[in-house]
Amino acid sequence: MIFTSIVFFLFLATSLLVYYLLPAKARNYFLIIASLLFYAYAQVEYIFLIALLIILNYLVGLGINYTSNRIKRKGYLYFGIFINLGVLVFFKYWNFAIKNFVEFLGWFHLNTLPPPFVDIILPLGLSYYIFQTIGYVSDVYRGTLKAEKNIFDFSLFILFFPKLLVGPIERANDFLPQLKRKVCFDKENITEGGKRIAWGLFKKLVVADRISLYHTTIMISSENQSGETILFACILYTFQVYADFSGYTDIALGTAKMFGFDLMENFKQPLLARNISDFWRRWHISLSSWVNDYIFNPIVLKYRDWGNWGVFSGLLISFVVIGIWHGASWNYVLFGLLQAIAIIYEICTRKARKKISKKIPLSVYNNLSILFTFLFVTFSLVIFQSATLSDATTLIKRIFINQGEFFYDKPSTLLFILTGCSIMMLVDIDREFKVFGFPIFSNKNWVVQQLSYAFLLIYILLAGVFDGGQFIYFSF
Amino acid sequence: MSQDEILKELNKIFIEVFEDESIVLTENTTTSDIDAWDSLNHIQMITAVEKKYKIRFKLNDLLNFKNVGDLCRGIQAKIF
Repeated sequence: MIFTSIVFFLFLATSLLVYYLLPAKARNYFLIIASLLFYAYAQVEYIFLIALLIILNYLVGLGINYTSNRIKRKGYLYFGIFINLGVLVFFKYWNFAIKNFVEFLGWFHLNTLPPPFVDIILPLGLSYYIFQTIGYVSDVYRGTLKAEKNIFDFSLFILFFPKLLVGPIERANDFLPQLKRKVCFDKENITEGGKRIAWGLFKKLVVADRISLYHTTIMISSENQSGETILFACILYTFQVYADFSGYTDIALGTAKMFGFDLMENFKQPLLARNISDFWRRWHISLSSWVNDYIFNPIVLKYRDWGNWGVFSGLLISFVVIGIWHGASWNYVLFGLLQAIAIIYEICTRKARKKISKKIPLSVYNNLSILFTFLFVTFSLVIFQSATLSDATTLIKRIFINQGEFFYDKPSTLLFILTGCSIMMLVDIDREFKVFGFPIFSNKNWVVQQLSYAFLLIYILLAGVFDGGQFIYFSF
Repeated sequence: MSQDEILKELNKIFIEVFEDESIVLTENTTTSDIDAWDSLNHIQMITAVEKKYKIRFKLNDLLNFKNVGDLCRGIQAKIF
């Protein structure tokens, strides 16, 4: 059930109606049923897998919580992590690992048996909810969270449908307390949620899907396209991924808000980041902060005597995990490694950069920093979007070698894309720098605010792409 | 040693590690309150604290420090 489909909005409207008509005590049970239906509609065959993982993690949490024996607690933690990672590795990385292992054996002429590949499809949302369950058992082990005793509340923490398939990767500490409150109908939640959904639809249907049509055309014919055209398409891809994923997040957060829940923000004007460390504090925050809390910090703190080398090792491991989290492919590993190398460079040069920043006007330094960060992100996304490393190399070569005219399809294509990107970025610029004295979408004047959303909806109807295109992060 | 005394000594360590004379710590100070408090400076600060008080924190303690107050209490628990 795609968030931009009519079926989803019918499901949402019906669920909201039933949710608020039911007595407050029955609402969480209803949300579990609605979430199971939502998941079953998308992929019914893995409903038992998710149910099994819920039960196992629930029991592991209780096991850790009610055991004072240090070794037993650790045993429960390792068992929980082993089960969660085992499921993730089996479904997502098994074939990739076997393929590479067979190739490795092939170098020594040792591959004689047929490789044990498995013919399976990836359970939807697996990478997202597995990270939630690992976070949960780790928090209970660390003592920062008490194990949830109510299995229904724990189930809803995993299953809550607005975040089930593409996140945000929610923390139990933030979500579970929300399940203990009595949610009353609040008109404000519905209007705020609706506005957030409208903004998400604009980003997805007008910005991301418009760019996608152009970008796909260029990429499938890149051998015949000029270098400038490919470069332009690559730059637009950065806006596309941002609009696609943050648009999804807006719809998820808006939907949750309508039911009275606050989910974690996933983006904070990432394309205005001043360096790569800053970028990762603003991009897919629920994933980057998860990796920071459960991988990076434990490594650097455990190996703090290693000084900088401990930090560098932590960065390399963390970003390889972030890279490969996106999929079982070497281009994602390289994408992650590039981010780590860029941040290591930033650490090593920070004193020199501080000196430079004092010699030139601050606004020039900041704007140049934003530009260089954007260009680096765009470059790394060339690797991210390519199926193989050789495809990425070929594409980069074509930017410098290919001759010809700049291709922009029709003038309307360019107009819709540039207008959409401009509106999206102007809102981000205003949020970041508070430059406009007259906010449009967040104006305190009711009439201005409603008119701005009316304009947004009309623009979606005029310029939106309604072909049911899937979200990019759905496949991760 | 009282919490206030530890806080004063920590303030000196923070000024030295973060190279910022303007730092004034309170128990509620967190990473978001100090611009230069990144992962590298955090490690340097922790090792400086451990050296100063001749203590060694457990990994779990370090992961659970949410603000300067938690760090003060962690030091106090170790030196008594």
